[in-house]
Amino acid sequence: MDTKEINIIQHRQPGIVESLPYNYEFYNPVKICSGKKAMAHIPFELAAINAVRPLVLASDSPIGRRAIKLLTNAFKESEMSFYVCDDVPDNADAETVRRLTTLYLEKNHDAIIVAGDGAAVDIAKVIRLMVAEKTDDLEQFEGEIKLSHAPAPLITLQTFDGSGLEASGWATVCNQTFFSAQLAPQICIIDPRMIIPMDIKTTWARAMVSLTQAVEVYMAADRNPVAINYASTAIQSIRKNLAPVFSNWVSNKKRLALINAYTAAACAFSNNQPGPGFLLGKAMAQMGNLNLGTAMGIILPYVMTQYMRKTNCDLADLLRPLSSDDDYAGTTSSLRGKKAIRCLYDLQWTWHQAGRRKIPLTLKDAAVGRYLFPDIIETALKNGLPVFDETDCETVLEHAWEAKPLNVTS
Amino acid sequence: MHLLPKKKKKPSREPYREISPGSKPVKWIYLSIMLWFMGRAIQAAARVDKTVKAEFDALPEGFAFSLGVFPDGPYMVLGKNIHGQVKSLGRRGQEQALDVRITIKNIEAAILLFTFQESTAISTSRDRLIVDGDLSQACAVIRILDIVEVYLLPKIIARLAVKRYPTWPMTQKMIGRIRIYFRAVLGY
Repeated sequence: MDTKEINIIQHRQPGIVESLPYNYEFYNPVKICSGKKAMAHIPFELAAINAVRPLVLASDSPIGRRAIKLLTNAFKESEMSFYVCDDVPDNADAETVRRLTTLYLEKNHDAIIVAGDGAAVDIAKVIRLMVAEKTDDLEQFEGEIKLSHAPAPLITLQTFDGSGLEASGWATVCNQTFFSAQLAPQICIIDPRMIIPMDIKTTWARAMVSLTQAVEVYMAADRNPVAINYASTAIQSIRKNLAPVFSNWVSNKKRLALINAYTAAACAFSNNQPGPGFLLGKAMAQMGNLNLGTAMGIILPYVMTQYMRKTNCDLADLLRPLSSDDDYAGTTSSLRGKKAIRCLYDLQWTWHQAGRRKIPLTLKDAAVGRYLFPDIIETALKNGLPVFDETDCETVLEHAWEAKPLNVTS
Repeated sequence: MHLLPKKKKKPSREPYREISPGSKPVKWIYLSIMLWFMGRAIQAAARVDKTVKAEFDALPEGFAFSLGVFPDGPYMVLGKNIHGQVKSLGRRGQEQALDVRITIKNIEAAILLFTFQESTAISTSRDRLIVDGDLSQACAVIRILDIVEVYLLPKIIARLAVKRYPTWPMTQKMIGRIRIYFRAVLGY
C-alpha cells in the first residue's frame, strides 16, 4: 500500500488507523439476537449448545411476569420444557445465591435464562461462577477471576431497565464485585415485546450508564479499534434515539435501538478497566444514595474535560459519534476534542429540554450535598480510581455541583 | 418506575416449577398444508417451467433436499430420481440422507415466511433459516421456490414473497399457473 493510499484511509478513519495499537486483545463471547420475535430463537440456540434443561430466573416484577409469559409462547412446538424460579429478589444475600446454586445443581440444569433486570443477571452470573468453581463460598472471590472451568451457558433477555452491565463480565452481589470475561452471557435476546416504557428520569439514567461506558472505551489507555467500533455504535444510537423516547407516543423501534446500544456499550466495556467516570459515578451513587446513571450522566462532561487537562490526551475521535461526519470533517483536528465535550454539554441540554426539565444537570439539582464530596472521593480512590487523584476528583465534583464551566486548558 | 398500570396480585404459586409449553396446532397444520402443496407444486413446476427444469438439471443425480421447521417439522422432502424426474420423498426430513437441509429455526419464523410477511431473502438475511449442505445448491432451491411462488400466488402477494418479481409475459404466467395448479392438485 503506497503512502497516498494510507493517507486516504487515515483521512476516512483517523481514529482507527492512527491509534492502532501494536498489539491488543478483544474478547466478546456475546451473541446478540435482536428483532421481531427474537425470543422464539431461544429453543434453537439452546439446542445448538446441547442444553435441554434450562432454568429460568425471574424477578417477581411486571417485566419478570411478562418474560415468563413470552417464554412459554416461544417454547411452544420446541419439545423442550423449562423450569422457572420466579422469586429472585432485587437485593440477594449470600444465602439466596447459595440456595439457587443448590437448586441448579440438584435439578441437573444445564443453562440459565434470566428474565429480569440487572439484579437477576448478577445473581445468575454468580451462580455460574460457583458452579464452575465447585464451591459455595462467595467470599473467596473478589475482583478479577480466572475460571478453572467453562461456566454454564447464560441467556439474558435484555430489558429497557437494568444496571447496564448485563452483557458484560461484571457482576455485583452482596456488595461484592466480580469480573471475568467468561461470566458474560453467551446470548443476549433483544425482543421488542420485552420493552416496557419507563419514566423520563429512569430512561435517561439508564442511557447515561451506557454512554459513560462507551466514552470510557475511548478514554482507556489500552483502547483498541474493535472496542472503539462497538462504543461508537452505542454513542451514535444513544445520541439519535434518546430524546424521542422521552415521549410515550414513539414507536418501539427507537427503544429497541437503545437496548442494542446498551448491549454494544457493555460488550466494549467488558474489554476495558472501569475509568474515572464510572468509578467516581459509582462512588457517588453509593454515598449520595443516587441512581448510578444519574450520577454518571451529571459528571461525564466534567470527567472528560479533566481527563483531557490531566493527560493531554485528545478525545478527537469522540466528535464523530457525538456529532456528525460533516461536523467532524469541518472541524480542525486540534479542536475536535474540545468540540466533542461541547457537543456532550449540548446533548445534555437537549435531553434536559426534551425531558421537560425533569433531568438534573447539576449535583445540586440531584440533591447531593457538598459535605459528601470527601467521602465520595475516598470511596472512589479505594475502589482503584485510575488517572485521577484527589484534586482532580474535587475539581470535577465542584464544577458538576453547580454546572461551573471547566476549561480544557488549565 | 414502570409505566404499566398496577394489576391485582394473583394467588401465590410454587416459586420453582416446570413449564411444559405445549404446541401451536393451528400454525402447525397451516404449515403442513403449505409445505405439502408447495412440494407438489415444485414437482409439477419441474415439468412445466423451463427455468425450474434447468435448475434441477444442473443439480447432481439423486439430489435430495428438505425444507422444514426446527425441531420436529413439518417438512417437505423432494429429490431427483435416476431418470432426472423430481419426486416428493415423503415428509420425514430428519430420517433421510439428504444433500441439502434448509431448516427454519422456529415455527414463528416459518409463519412469517409462509404467510408472506417476509420474503425468502429477507428471512435469510434476518437469520431465520439455516442451511446444512452445499450453499450453491441451497441457493438453487431458493430460486426454484421463488419461481414456484410466482406461479402459485397472485402478483400482489407474490411481490411480498420473492426478492424481485419477474417480468414474464401474461400468457406464460397464466398458462403455467393453470398447468401447475392442475398437476399439483392431481399429484403428477
